Amino acid sequence: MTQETARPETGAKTKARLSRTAKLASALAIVLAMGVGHDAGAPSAIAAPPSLPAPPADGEMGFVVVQFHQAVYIGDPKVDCPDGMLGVLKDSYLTTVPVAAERARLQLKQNESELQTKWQTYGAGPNGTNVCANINEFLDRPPTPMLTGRVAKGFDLDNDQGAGGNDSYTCKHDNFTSPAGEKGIDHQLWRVQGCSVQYRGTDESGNGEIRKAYDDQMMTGQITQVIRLRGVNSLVNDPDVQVLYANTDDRPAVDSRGNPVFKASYTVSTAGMKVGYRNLLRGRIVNGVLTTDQKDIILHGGSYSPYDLARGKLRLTFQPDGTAKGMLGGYKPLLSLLTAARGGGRGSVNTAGINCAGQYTALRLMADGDKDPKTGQCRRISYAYELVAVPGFVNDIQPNRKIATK
Amino acid sequence: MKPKKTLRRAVLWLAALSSVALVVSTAVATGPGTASGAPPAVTLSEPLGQVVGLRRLTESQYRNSIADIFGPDIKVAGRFEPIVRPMHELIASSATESTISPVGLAQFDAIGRGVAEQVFDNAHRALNVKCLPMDDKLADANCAREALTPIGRYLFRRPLTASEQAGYVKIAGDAVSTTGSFHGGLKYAVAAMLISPDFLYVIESAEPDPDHPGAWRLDNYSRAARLSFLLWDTTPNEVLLEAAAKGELTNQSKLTVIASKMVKSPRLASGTRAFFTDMLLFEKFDEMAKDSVIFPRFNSEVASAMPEQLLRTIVDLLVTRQADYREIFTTRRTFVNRALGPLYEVRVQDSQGWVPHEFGPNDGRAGVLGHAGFLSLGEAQVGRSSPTIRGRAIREVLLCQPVPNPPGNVDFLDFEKVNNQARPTAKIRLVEHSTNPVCAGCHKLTDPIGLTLEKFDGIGAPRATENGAPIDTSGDFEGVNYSTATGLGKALAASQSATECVVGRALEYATGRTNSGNDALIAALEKGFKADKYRFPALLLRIASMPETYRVQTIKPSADSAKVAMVTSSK
Repeated sequence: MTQETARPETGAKTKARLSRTAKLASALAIVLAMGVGHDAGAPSAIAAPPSLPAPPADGEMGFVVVQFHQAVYIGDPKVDCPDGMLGVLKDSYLTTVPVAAERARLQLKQNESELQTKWQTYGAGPNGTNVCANINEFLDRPPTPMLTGRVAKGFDLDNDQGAGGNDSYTCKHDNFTSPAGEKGIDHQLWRVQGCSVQYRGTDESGNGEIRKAYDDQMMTGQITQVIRLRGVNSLVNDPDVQVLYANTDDRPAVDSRGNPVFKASYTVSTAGMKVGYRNLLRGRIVNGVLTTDQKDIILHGGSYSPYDLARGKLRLTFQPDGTAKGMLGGYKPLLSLLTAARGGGRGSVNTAGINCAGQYTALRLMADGDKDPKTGQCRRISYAYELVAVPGFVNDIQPNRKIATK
Repeated sequence: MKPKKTLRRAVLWLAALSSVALVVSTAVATGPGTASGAPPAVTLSEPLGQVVGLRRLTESQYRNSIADIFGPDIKVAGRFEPIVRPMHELIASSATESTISPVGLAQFDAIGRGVAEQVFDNAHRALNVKCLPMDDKLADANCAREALTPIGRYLFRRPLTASEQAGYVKIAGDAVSTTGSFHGGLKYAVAAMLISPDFLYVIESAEPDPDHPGAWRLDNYSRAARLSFLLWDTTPNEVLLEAAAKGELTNQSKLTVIASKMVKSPRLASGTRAFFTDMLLFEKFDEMAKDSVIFPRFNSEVASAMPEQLLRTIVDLLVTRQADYREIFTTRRTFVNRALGPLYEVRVQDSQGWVPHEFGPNDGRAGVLGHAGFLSLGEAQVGRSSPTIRGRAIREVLLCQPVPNPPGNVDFLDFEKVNNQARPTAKIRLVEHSTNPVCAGCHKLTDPIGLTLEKFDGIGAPRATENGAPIDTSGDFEGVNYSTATGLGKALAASQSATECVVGRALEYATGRTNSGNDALIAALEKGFKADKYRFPALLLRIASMPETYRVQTIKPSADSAKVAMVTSSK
């Protein structure tokens, strides 16, 4: 927005200027909302998408997902994390030491061993209980520091821009606003994880080490995902598109520089842990953005727990080069987010310093979906992933059909 | 009339090498032997004929022989010294002049020892040794003879002579004291056979031709080998060896019957693959390199898939479907796998292996010219496509029309400026070569056909433009104008040069000799090829069964003509 010069203006001119400025701001918001870069906000009904390829002759498009990680938005750390970063168990223990002088003493180099014993004891629970593995016995632990910022990426999963909790499924919670200005964004897990340096990155860039770990899992074939669209008559506007979202045992083809190769072929997994992770969705394309109707989505999550997203939603924004960028959102079970820590044995506490109980308290506080009718406690938490997919051929299989091989 | 003088030197070298092989293998202490009471095994009842040819086994012939003799699960591990191909010839004919260096022999020795080790291991011993030694820790000449004689017959492609049999039995016995076991001794003997020239070379021997007094013809065992390596790319099997023993392969009608059966066998696919691997210079795939910055999609999986795709397409066309050979330039039917799918931008259903695919009518791809493998070959195509290289390959490989090498002082600089916006396409950059009288003579032969393939880049991937400029693929060949690569394919298919070329190559492949002086024979074969509707198996049958294939070129004998000799160790 521009600043006018000092000459005083008439009321009519002021009105006209403010009107022009408002329109400019509105148009700017719309452009941003078109999903340039990672910000896949709500589609606009006004601005046209960038020049997109022609739709396929047979109406079928395939993609292989090559990046898949939590949708991260990095706001001002003073606003996002006024209580400090998530830290490790040692940091959580120190918050339980009320006297500042004692906290300072414990952090002196010569007292390192004493501090370690104390925080490991704190993490172990009475009688050396593994807190992570017995988490329901430690519901009284204080929560880990949570994000208080107002902006996050994600979906409005409950169609409620207010405080939520107005139906039998959701619990009250503070909504986010998307970077593009869409209100009612449900991404409560970001409140729990948003103050972690593993997500924010040491440079606050959003490229934390966890992002690379997630993306690597896609590229190794461990949990590679494929998306197939059918019935695509236009990449700009199409009211009815069938979407297959599944796992494949095939790893993404890469070239000599490690970049994904376009137009490689993949087959939906037919056996083993990935069988059954085959989600059929319906969606529509509006102004170059595909959005699916809400439906439970489940995908292979690697060694620990699947990507189990109740009331899941997929959004893809088509790019001129044939790729697609998008977002996947839904409600995840709370304990699934601690599966890795819970399976890590004492190492999760003593080595990784994970504050399972603190994180679980935070999760329970922020949970906003799948309300237990008896207790009123929500058992799932809203979540959003970002993804990038490149064109490929996706070969589907019919569920429950034997694939003969010799 | 006696065979060529040059062979005398080869035979003397052969004898020396044989003695080296046996001496190397018999450097062991002697030990007592124990009679097992088994009857002696059959050896050659007549002297070996006059040696008229030595053709070194190719790697695939070696591997196929081992697989057929000892089983497909025997691993053949090691590096094979390549047979160097002279210009404009097949490896099959250069194999007749190929020697083995000391390093190469050491490599063959290592490979052979590895094979021998497996042949007599616990998993395979019972298959290869039917008798039981009196004591496994002692030598047993009778059981060794019984075990080694049939093995030697298969490896040498003829029965052993009595002295050969005795020699290898002695090796086996002597080696017991070193290895501590009877079967260990057998391993030494078989390892020695595997580095013998009688195995590493197909030794062709001849006899006087009763139908042409004064002339010579290949004898039965040599015919068995020639038939088997021509049609199946492997060592003669029991049927062929038996037929040779009965003298049936010098009987024209019986030879034809046997050859017909072999042509109808599924194993013809192996022989066809081997032939086209030779004719299309597939060894160049081993040295193919591409700039990874310019062609990031090119990797080892793509490189190994390219020749396999070509071979599958050719075998499917010529053997499975028994189609007209000329369709090799026009067929749109091919096979793809996951590695090649992205390059051709086609869906591949199966995660493993190959699936049939048909190029679309508007893909611009047809025949071998549309395959990425053919389009990618040529050392000049590391960072770009080369119409001249491609045109030359078509002339020399598919039409048997040699193109002279460029002069040593030719300046490629202008052509290699592939990002030159002022001269954006190869056709424009090559104008200099087609208008300069020094260059035009050869470039007129190569460029008009090579430029037609410019809608495929240096790894055979499609492109519509070069530096933003449209690519002109029009040209002419033997008076036929065309505007696309498929049009070029049709023009080549209509050319008699194409069919004459494959006929000549097939004859060269069968005989191991270049075709100088064979113009009339080739013309007759080409006529027969046409009468057979250009069916490739029919061509092979003609060649395999005609007497000319087994005639030997002869010269006046000298006073000290050599015969085949097997020098046994004096130990």
